[in-house]
Amino acid sequence: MDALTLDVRHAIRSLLRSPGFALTAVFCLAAGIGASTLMFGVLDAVFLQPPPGVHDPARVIRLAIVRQTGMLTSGPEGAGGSYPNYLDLRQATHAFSSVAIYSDETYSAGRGAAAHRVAGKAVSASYFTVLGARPIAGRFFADNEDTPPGPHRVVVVSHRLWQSEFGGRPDAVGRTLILDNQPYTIVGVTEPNFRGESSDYIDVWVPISELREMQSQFDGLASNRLTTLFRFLGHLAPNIPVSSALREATTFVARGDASDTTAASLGPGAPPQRALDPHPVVISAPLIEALGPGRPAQASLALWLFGAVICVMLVACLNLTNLLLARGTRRRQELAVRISLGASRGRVIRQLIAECGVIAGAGGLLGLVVRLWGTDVARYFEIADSRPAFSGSVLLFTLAAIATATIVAGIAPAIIVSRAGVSVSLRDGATHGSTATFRVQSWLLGGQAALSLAVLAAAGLFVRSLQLATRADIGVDTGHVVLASADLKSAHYDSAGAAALYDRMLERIVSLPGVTAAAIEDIPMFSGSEAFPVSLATGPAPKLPLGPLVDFVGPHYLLASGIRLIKGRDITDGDRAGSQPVVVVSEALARRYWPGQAPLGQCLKIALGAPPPTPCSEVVGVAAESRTNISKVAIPRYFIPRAQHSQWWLPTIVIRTPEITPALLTSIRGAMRGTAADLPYADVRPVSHELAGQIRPYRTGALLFTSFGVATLILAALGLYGVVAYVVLQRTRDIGIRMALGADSGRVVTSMMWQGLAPIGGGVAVGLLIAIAASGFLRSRLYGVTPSDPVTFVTVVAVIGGVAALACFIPARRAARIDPVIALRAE
Amino acid sequence: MIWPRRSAAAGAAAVADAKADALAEFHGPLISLRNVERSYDAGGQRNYVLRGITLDIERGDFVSIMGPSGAGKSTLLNVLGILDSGWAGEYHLAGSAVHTLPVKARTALGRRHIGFVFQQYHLLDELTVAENLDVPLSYRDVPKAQRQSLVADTLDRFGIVGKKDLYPRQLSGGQQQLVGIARALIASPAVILADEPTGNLHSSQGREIMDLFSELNAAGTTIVQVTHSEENAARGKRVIQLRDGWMA
Repeated sequence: MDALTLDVRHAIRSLLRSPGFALTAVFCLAAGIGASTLMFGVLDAVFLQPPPGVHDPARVIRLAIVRQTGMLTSGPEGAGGSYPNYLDLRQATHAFSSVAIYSDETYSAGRGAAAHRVAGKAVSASYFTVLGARPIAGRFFADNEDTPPGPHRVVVVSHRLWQSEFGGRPDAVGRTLILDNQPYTIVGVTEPNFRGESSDYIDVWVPISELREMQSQFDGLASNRLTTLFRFLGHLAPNIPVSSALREATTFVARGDASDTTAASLGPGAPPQRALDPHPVVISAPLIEALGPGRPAQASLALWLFGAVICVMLVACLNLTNLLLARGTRRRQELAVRISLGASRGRVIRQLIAECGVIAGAGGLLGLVVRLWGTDVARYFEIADSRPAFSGSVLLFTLAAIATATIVAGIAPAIIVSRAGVSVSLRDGATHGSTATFRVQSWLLGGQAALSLAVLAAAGLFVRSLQLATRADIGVDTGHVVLASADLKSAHYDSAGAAALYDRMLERIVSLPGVTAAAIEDIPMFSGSEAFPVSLATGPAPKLPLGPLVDFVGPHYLLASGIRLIKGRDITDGDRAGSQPVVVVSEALARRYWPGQAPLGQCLKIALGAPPPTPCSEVVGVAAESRTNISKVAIPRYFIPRAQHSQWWLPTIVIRTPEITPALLTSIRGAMRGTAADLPYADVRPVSHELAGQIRPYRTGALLFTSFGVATLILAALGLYGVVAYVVLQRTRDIGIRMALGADSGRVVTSMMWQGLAPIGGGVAVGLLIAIAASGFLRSRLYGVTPSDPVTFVTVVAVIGGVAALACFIPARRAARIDPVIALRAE
Repeated sequence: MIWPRRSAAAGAAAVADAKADALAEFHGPLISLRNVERSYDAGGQRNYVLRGITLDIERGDFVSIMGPSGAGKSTLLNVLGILDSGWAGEYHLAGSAVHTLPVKARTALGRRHIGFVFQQYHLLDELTVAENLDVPLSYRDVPKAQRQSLVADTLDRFGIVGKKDLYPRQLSGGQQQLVGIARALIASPAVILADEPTGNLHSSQGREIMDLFSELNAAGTTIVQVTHSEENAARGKRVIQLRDGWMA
């Protein structure tokens, strides 16, 4: 222990004597350790840590139902189920100590201008029991508060909402919170950061019986088995393995579903059959969402990013190895003195590793600071949540990273340096480096170049994806269109009342300054459209791989949304109930249904559920392709006047303006509120915001991969600079002799640059092979670019080549300025 | 004058007591070389640096190795100091047949019996005078308390207590070499090998260092020095001349 203390003390002293080296080394490792602990923290939170506030998480499982026939056919990952399925699962009392049902909801909290959107869940009272949650104030739901029919107007609020809305006051329990215009009594507050089984923030939990659909006679979800709306959780009974629990659960769900003999036709002209698979199978998934089949896209991206930071860490270690080798060569004489004073080789190796350990320790501490700062960045990109930046596992990982860096970076230089002959080292000191050392350094440079290329290639592919995704033409004038909506159903407007209210809103919005056009559509632009069977005047419509999609729109919709009209006209005020049914079709649909014919005036029969015969809708316009997302595939679609087809979905007002300003958004919101005092939260947002969610993974990937790529490039460039500078130092006499013999500076520069660029070239070649092979796995994460995109790879190689040339040129130019007289005299 | 010192030789003799017991059982020459050769491979040919070296060095001897540049003086010193292991022949040190020992055991033997003094002093720059003295003891796993006592004693014996917290760069060349000698002696070696110990010093400092060597030798320390100086060689009891690797 005494010897170790001495080694560490001497190591610190030795490093303090070389502050330039020490700082460079520490910063190199800090970058590597900081980035890797940051991403480990993200992975730890996403993959390893159960949701906060859940007790005994190992015994909590998600339950899903696999059905292979009928209306609710699912994939092998299963789907949710119905409220009666929940009652079935509750009978499996041997398997589960408790079972919970829940569904994801959003609510409008508050009234008037203060109303805002909050994320919530409708849950059974057992939800909190299953998760083992504890309230920090009040209580959770009583067993009789979740049983349909309601109303049971009670709510549990999150710690965050308790703080923001009620200042954390204890008397908040018992007070009223307005949700969707209904007063709810707050009965409890969750622990800080509790978000149930979810990885997202949740602010309110209401009893499952409060779902409108549970109370509606039309939906009748309390007794309807034909739905997968709900999700289930189970807390395994003591000593019951998961397989046994699932067997028992399957038995009860199958028995329940067997009792439902509803028949349904599963396609046009298909004979009716059982709507429910009589042999459902209950399966489980881990509570940690990222470990199950429903892994969020951000979690997969985090895995890739972790791979990138491991590259950063490796480059940092290789860099440190190179620095230590160079320093070790300069210290050969000192080490020889130590050996001549009695130090064994093992002792010298230990001393050198102790120095590396001190560097790694300092790098690790600085890395934790980097992590603290980086956590905010990761939260900004929504790949980290609000949990504390430091946890036990993160600190353990940091210690492991320090130990790994010490071993990876420290051992090889220690062994190589300590191997030098004592007598030669005592005589020659640092003036002659070994060929073996330079060879190792060249390999290390090559490795750094290969790793840098791999990370930069990933960065390049994401940057290209981001470019293409941002420029994606979805057919809508994304820069000048605003969407506005309010959930009138939650405000208990009936269809007629809501339609009238929307008409009034539209009237006010159209008259606002800065608004050039506005129209209502009945299906939100980016939430997908419903398909209905269609046929032509001549018979069945040709089968399409996808679609056609329908959109119920008001007058001037194409103008308001910026979808280009190619032929004919837009939907107009004249297209009202009772007038000739009309339809505007997309160009692709026209091409598929009436190839080689003029589409205008053609007949499209749309089976919207009314009894036959289905009337002809006359094609009055052809619109350019438009998409509901940034995907490359444009699904054929058609637009029909909402006035001619009484459908009630989720209306949205589409507003076109020359310039989207905050003032305009405020006036639109004001105009909507002016139509009804009790209007819930009015959601007004530019179309580009809707697209931002789709573009975010590319933006996150591009920014973070680029950050890590630049980090590896800087580290590799520093390493290259150091090695060439070291070669210049070692060969000062040699250069002096050559110059004395007549070598010009250009030849010296070329010779020195070759020392660094040759291994970089080799590393780039290997890195290209690795990157092209690995990027294939990124295919599903890219947009519009192939994993072997030549533009990306040529650019990355050019960037690495340019940076490497610069890193070599600076010390090489210094070599060319060596005065041969001074160099030879120094020798 | 480097600085005043007290009876360094007497102190060194006291420190050497323990090892002296071990050496007392052995009665032959302290160092005995028989037909030692050292060569290097030079493009497929052997280039001999030492040839047929046969010599005995008794306890208490003071030997000067002389010869022109390239004669093999430093190589011989490195062989004697077990810093070089690529030689052939027989080498007995304090009765142990070095040529039969594996490298690790040779190193341990050298650590036990040999102390080095260098022309360039080779003090460790980042360590103070006291810490430089502590280094050889720490490499011999001497317990901390004993190390502190030995360092304090040596500082006192060499009259450098006032310099103990200074770094080598704060000392003159002569002072540095004095610390180098103190460091070589602190672990009580049976023999001190000195490679041009006054080579980097001006004449008055060099004389003082040689006075110190004479004193140490008089107190029983065996000394082998490499020198170009006839004056310094005259301080020893005998001179070995080397020419082209051969003993002249």
